[in-house]
Amino acid sequence: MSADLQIAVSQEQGRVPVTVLSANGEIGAHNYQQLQDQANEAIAAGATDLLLDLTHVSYMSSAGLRAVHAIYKKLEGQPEMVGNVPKAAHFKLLNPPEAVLKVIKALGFDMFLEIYADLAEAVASF
Amino acid sequence: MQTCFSFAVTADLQNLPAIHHFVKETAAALGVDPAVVTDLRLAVEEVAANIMMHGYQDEGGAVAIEMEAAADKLLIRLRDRGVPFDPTTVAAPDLTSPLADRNLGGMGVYLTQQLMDEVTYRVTAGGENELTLIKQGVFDSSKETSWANAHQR
Repeated sequence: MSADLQIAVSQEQGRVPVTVLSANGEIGAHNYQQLQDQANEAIAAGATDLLLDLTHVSYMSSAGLRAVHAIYKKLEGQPEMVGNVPKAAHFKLLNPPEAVLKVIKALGFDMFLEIYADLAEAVASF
Repeated sequence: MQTCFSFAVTADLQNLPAIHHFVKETAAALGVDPAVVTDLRLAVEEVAANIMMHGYQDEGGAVAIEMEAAADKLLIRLRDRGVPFDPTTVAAPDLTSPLADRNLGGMGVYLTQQLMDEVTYRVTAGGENELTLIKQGVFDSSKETSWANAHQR
């Protein structure tokens, strides 16, 4: 457990149950595994739809996106086709601050992951 | 006023927070625009993490970092004695390729190149790998104490 990252797990009910991972702090190469482990634990416990809340993540390097990518690969056997782009249906992101969104966009992840600004809207989208 | 600061850690990912602290503190001391500090931290982390994981193959060694203000540019040099590796020769990832088809990782070099104005690699006379990151126009002109301002007067 790294002192600079905390991850809380909660449940929301939309059309399907949605597991929300709320990260708080900074995500880098020294602690990204913590995010991946927490997601793996939720998936092992039966979570099939996961929302990663990035509201309180002030910094994320490519290692954080490596964890996001690993979670994506675990949950998205068959991504839904939106137009001709495979969009994730079971793993979505909530509210990344500007500094984090910049990295998500720079590495082209925004094309394949839905990003919501509002929790209720995000939960309802699953 | 001091214009060059250096710092060294052993190659262990758990030392990354100390590196971030050094970059933040040094950037402030040099009068770097706070808006670009995250870019600097990202670039330094990506390079340092690669050195720790691949350069030293998780076996430890030293990673030295130097930050220097030179006119309107900030130079950041990272030196190590790990396996020689020139990241400037790495091909850019295909960002249009679906995530399901992409391999995990391998994005750090590309991100560093996107964030910095210039990235150069050389082997020093002493046999160290030296990667230099250059960011232009980073000095906050509103700060009276900045080195850049002091030299513009």
